Amino acid sequence: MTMETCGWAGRALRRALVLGLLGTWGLVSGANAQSDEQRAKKIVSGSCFICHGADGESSSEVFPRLAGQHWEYTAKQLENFKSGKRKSTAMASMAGKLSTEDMVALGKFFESRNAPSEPAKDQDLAGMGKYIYLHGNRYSAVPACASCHGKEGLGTASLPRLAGQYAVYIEAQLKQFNQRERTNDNEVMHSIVAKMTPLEMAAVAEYLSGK
Amino acid sequence: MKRRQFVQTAGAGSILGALGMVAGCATSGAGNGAHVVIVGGGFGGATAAKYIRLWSDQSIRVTLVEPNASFVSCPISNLVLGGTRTMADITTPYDNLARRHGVNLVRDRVTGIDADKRIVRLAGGGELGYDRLILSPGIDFMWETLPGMNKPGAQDKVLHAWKAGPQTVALRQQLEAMPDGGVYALTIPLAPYRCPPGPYERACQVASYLQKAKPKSKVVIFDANDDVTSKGPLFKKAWADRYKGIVEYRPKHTVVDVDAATNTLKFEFNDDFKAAVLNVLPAMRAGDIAVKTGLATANKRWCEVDFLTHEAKAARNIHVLGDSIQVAPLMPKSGHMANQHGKTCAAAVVALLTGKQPNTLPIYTNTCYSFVSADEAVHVASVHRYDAAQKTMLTVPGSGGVSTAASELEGGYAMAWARNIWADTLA
Amino acid sequence: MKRKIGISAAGLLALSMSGWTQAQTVDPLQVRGWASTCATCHGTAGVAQPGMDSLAGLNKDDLYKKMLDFKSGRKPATLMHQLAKGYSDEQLQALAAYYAALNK
Repeated sequence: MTMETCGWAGRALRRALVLGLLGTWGLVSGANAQSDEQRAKKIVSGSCFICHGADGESSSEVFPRLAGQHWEYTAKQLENFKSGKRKSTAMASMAGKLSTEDMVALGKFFESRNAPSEPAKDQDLAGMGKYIYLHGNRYSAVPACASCHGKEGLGTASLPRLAGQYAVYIEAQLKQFNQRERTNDNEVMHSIVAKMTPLEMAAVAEYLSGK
Repeated sequence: MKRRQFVQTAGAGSILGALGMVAGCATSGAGNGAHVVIVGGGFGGATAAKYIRLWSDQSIRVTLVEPNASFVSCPISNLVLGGTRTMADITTPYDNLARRHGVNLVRDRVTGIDADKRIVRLAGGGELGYDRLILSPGIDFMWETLPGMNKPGAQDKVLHAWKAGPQTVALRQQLEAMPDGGVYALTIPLAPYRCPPGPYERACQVASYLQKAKPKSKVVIFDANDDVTSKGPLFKKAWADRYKGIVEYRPKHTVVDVDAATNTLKFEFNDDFKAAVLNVLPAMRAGDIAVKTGLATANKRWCEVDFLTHEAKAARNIHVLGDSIQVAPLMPKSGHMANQHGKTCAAAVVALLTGKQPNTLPIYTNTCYSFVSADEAVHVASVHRYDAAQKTMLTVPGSGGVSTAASELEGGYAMAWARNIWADTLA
Repeated sequence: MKRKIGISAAGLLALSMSGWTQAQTVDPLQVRGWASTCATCHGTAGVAQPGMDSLAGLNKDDLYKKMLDFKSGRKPATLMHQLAKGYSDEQLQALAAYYAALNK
């Protein structure tokens, strides 16, 4: 069941995302990688660093860690913030000034950044989260997160890396998927999270924060 | 990656290390190696920390003592109450002070000051020695003026949300849970209090939310003052034009007690009033540590300072910033003003610690925006200049003023002001 | 990643030797103190966050003229005119020169 869920929905989602990506910036060549990095650093040191840290490591659980995230995913989120497809009062104005090239450069910059995670604070809760992450909850039809996000939580170009992300942030996003307050990428996520209990959400978030 | 721990700079290391390193420097006047301790990481303290580092070319050591993990801004928090902004919008981490400016961050609370030995004592058990001490402890509430609020549980039920953070979230939850037709009652103490226009902005934001979500509900403002204390005509126009039938303003109403169990307000001269959600702003005074240390020389409530250096009149080598001070004429208690105090004091402390003369003519501005709806704002602005004869800051004749009307243009400027002052203070 | 914040030594020298016809000398640290009040809208060292103009590195004569136009009311504004009126022309000139000398 878990593989099926990921199968049909995953394929459709991936197709849509890849087409979307190609349409908007698939043809943008990272011809001069160095100047891309310079461009990104300039933007980051201007405003992103205040909340997300200079290397995307974000030391505040209120703001997501961006280091090590797939560049396509980060760039897509920025594009969605700019267009309003993903609602956020904090990010709309920040993303509004970015060009497509800026977003690609920022995505690649953050992906190249390293930020080792710390062990989860509550090991018992994280243990429960590990079970749900890897196996889902067959009694309530919650699929395993690993079936799409990968066994190690590393994600793919179209699905975000979750490993090492702040528990508070993951939990907040899960709740927003549930309420459809997270307005993008929620076709599949809403149907999954709608079946999760608050304990399961907290547990999975705790587990992932320590990976 | 450092998570919610504070980052300690490599040099300063542990608290004991700081004490040891300072002992030999306490008597020297050289900028190099001098140690400044700052209490309170708000608009005043954080700004002073950053600017002392900047303006001493990182030669003066700075330790900032602050109990919270991140800075949560009171400005824009009223929009979180109104539901158009989130806590993430008003939260800024402290880390950049350490990483970019080498400020030594200590997550703790100061419980006592020995002004002779030049030592502060921490709740966590350590001590910090200083050459100069800067206190920016904000305000604390005079709970003794509302006896019922000292009963167990009262302060958890009847909120002020006048220090942004958990109470902001809790008050928003109270508003969301309020049934349609309920009354939100806001009480304002006699001036001076933190942020003169703040309560009136809050009334607008709550009214804006109720108008959409619970249209039978009401906002009643009980103001101890004779009239609206800031931008009066602009707020009254907003209430009349936008929130007609929702906002009711009652001046000259002084709250003398609160019964939290029954959500009842008791007044000096008026009948009791019961409401679904009570938001009580008690009378305020300088932060506890300043009062405890004997620095509140004005009515035992506010700390008088030398406006050239912000040194406290009551103690040498101790400076006071922000809401805690006894203000100059027409000087508001605002975050913007505390940021100005921080810079004035930083320049003066750097000068004093390097054997130079502080600036004899500080001039600074205050710019204060209030949102009358989700997107439209009004402002009041003023310019304050040091007067050597009267030894205080006076507003410059002919300068300053308010908006002609609320606008989305000013709403945009207001958000830009917020982003820039947060970056100026904390990044 | 420390960006170089602040006025260069050459900038300070230029400031103190700027085309002054007044009798008094400019104290660079005093001007730096005055200029720091602008940071709450225009950013530390004149480099602003999104939504507001940066001031660092602008042409000093253009900036001075703009401030005079705010002060006289020739240039419409929501509040810059109210603030500009708080400073003498000489102070505005010193502030313009200070910002012009900052790194962008």
